[in-house]
Amino acid sequence: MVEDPIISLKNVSVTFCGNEKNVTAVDHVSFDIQKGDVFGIIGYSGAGKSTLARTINFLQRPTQGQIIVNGQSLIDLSAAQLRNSRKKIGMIFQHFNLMNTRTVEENITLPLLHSGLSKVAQREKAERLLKLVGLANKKMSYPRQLSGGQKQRVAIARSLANDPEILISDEATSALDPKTTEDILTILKKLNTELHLTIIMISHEMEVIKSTCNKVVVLNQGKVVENGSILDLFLHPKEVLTQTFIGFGHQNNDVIQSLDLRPKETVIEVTFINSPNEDQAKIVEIIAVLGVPMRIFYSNSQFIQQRVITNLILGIQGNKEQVAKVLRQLKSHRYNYQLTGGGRSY
Amino acid sequence: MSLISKFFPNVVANQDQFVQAIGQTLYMTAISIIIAGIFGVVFGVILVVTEPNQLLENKFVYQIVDKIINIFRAIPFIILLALLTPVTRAIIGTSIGTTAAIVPLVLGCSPFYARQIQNALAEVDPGMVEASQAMGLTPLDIIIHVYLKEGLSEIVRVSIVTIISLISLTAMAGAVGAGGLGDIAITLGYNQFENDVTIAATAIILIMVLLIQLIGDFFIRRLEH
Ligand SMILES: Nc1ncnc2c1ncn2[C@@H]1O[C@H](COP(=O)(O)OP(=O)(O)O)[C@@H](O)[C@H]1O
Ligand SMILES: [Mg+2]
Repeated sequence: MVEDPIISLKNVSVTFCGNEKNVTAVDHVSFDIQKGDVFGIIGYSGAGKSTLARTINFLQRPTQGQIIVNGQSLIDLSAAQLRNSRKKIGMIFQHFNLMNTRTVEENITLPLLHSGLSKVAQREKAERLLKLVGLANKKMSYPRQLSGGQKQRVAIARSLANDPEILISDEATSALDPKTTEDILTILKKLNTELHLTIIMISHEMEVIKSTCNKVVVLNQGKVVENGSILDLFLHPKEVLTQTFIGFGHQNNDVIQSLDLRPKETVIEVTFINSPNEDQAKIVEIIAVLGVPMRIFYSNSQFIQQRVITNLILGIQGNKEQVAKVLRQLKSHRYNYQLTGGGRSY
Repeated sequence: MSLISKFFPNVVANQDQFVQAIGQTLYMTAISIIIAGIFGVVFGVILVVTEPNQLLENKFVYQIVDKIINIFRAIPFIILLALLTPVTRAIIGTSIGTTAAIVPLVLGCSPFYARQIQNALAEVDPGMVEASQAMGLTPLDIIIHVYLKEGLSEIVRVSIVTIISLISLTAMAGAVGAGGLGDIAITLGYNQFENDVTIAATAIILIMVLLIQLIGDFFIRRLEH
């Protein structure tokens, strides 16, 4: 039985009316997020990621469509109910957005303003959250005195003050160096596994998405162009844009352009998850059995969701029928392949 | 004392009047600061939050407040003094005297201060406002705990500017019977050629300005961590 999604977007659009022309920042977007997902939204700058994120807590009212959180359609809520529902959706940002005039502790207790908790209880909670993000000794500091990574930890602690079920991370690591990015992502992953927090991870970097998310949508000019599990994205990218994000495409194009092909040589790309029965040797064997000459030009692996995904660029020499036979064999073994043009032939 | 009576003979001769004038200037300034301060902050906040794309976006309210402020700021103060005579009489009961001067002072100063407050609050990082909205804070919470709190050092800065310009307005109000240091600088200093009175009045005003500047800077330094 499939559980009801914790968040469901149905045909959501956001159009900004400008003086000269209207900008449709989010264009008929629909997707479901299940409880416990780390749900990635990837796209280039201006793709509409932030606008889409803001519709999920209704900071941005959609021009059209429905947003359903925990079975409740947000459009039906009064302003006060909406504020309560926002308390259950934490949010962190690229530039942290901490209050400069407040200490770390005061930043974390700000969301508890109307919580009914006593001052002492609020401070205890701040202390507990700071421990959770590994910053217990900084509660009396001001944001100005902290590094970027420390600021983001405070922002995470603050976003958890009202015990949310959902956390929206809008480019939370984009202003941080790689090591700090890794630390922050580790914290977020911990929150997902230990607190069962559903996380929406927005980024323009596949590195961030692939190391944290189990599902992902690719956003391009406000439209969802790809939606599925992260493994699917790597194994069966539908769009050219997706290929540029997953990195194989980018590098592979360069490789393919530089190949010196033999007469009647066809280039094939095969992508597969490494496992005891699926590896390079098996593919070589499948083709060898057919007696078609073959060589491996390039092989590239990435570690995603505890799995190794490999992308091979092969050259096979043969006539049309022989190539077709190879492709049929690959298909019957459920390999995902792609014929690529390019290369220089003699 | 003898030194004072040597250089400021007319100040000493009119000692009571001079001290009274200092009191009147302080009184006009203080009461006007309080009232204009309230008006300025309220309307400054209204401007900031009703602006397009802001917390309580409201084109109608924004346009009206914006226009009224522009109109009042366009009227020279000396003309405002004359223009407001009937209004002052309706509120205070008379249009002459120190208390009566508070009406034009407040109306002359509030629009300027509201604009200054608007500029000060516009400096508050929109990201902080977004974060506090995402926390589920109410618009009033956000005004108090984000705009006014985060903008406080900037508010103090523009308040100093406003208070200083208010003091100069009180001197001008003196010309129409409000009393104060501006008044004696004209009636004694200028009209009766008692130059030392003018110089002493100027010195007192400069000291006031300096003190306000010093106190303001002290608070700003304390606020900026
Ligand atoms: N408040 C706004 N008013 C007008 N246009 C906006 C507004 N917010 C975003 N946009 C436009 O919407 C598009 C998407 O922006 P955004 O959601 O910030 O993209 P991303 O976060 O993916 O970089 C951009 O073209 C941007 O200029
Ligand atoms: Mg963005």
